[in-house]
Amino acid sequence: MSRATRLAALVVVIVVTQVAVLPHLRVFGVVPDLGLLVALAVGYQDGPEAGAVVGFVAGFGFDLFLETPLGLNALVYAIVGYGIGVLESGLFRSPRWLPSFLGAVGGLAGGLLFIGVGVLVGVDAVKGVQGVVTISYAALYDAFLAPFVFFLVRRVLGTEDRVRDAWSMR
Amino acid sequence: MPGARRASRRRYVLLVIVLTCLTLITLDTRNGRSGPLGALGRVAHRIVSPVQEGVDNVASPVSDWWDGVTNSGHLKRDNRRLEQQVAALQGNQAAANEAIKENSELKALLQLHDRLLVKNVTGLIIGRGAGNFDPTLTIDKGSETGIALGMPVISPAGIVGKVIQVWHGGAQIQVLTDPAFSVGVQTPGHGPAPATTGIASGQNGSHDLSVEFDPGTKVLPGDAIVTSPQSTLFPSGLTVGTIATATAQPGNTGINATIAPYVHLGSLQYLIVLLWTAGTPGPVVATTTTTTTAPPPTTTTVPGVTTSLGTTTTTKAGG
Repeated sequence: MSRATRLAALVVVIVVTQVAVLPHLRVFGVVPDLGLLVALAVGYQDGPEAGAVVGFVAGFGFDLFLETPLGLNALVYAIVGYGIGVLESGLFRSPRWLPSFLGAVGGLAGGLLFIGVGVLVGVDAVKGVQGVVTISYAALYDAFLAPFVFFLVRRVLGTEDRVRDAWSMR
Repeated sequence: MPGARRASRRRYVLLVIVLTCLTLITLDTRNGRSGPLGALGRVAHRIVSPVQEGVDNVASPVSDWWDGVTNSGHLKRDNRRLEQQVAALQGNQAAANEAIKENSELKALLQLHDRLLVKNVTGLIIGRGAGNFDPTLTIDKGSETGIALGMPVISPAGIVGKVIQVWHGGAQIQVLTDPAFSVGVQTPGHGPAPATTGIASGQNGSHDLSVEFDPGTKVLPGDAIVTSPQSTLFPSGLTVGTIATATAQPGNTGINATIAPYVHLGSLQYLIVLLWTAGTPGPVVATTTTTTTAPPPTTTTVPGVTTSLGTTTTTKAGG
């Protein structure tokens, strides 16, 4: 099976898991963004272009099941996946806690972007302080799950572990 | 130079993706999910619904356990509160017995299904909002049973929301606590003060609905609120909730009120979709009294616990 096929299968599994399983595993009423984490991991492992494309596909797949405007998650995941890919090229060190850190930062950035664009296009549910609280909790959840998703993506892509010993020079 | 070309290509890819997303958002916001994109969504729902249903069957016990783990702080507080309530109940056993008796009598009136005058479909909830800003429910009945967009969804306690997407084998429900949800509501009359109407809508970060009434309206906490006869999106006379707070706006320009819905979304398992199209005149619930305004819903109240049984009357036929 080619890399692209494996990645497509992973995205399908992630979207179905997000829709069917994660609503049962809410913590403080929030669910993590598995699609965003996949975009982050692919952006980190394969660069900004791949991160953006995978983020778009995963976000679009998730959007099909949501009440929010179609394309909103696709936009957010693509931009964050791209951004992490750009950021990764400037990293000199890859400590083991990096996936969790990227999960938290990416989750928060993605959440804020979602709220910002959501407000612009008239999504009432994202307005107010509650929206920021929700994305903060979701970012922590993302941070917790990020190492597992990064590991999964690494296996699917068949790339070597770019998260090496703490403070190792690349 | 190859590096610069690659960077340029990356930016081009991102630009194409961003423009595509903005186009999708614009199309979806303007046209809703009625076109090819909506069809794609319905197909996706149809494919994933069986998975959702299967996972729901398996995961419900796990989900309950998970809720217990992640909300243990709330459970401890709830436990302390319930212990106090039990003590209060023990000290007032006669009142509790009376309440229980009244409750059992009124349970007979809860046969909402038998009282409905319109065709309806009972659906099992198989999915709850997948995202963090997606307060929706998914049920296992869809277009094959006659369910269509915009149809009202109720439970024995009161209105739950409306259908916002439907496909073969399932439907997505926008719940009444969604800030994008709104419904015309009516207050009960208080003596010479007539019943009045307003538009209630969901609020962010709250399970209550907010509504604004005209100045001079007499609204009291505990007043039973039903859907308005003027509503064209919902049948009139369906129970919504009770007034939780009512405060006059500065300058007496109106009254801001919040409505505590009767329905507890978290505990719902089954929903009733009324096969009622917007604008159809006439009541949808069998009338049991002849009053012209909705009286307070029949409630059984014990200290700290209130069980809403829904109104036992309906208003005049309205469109």
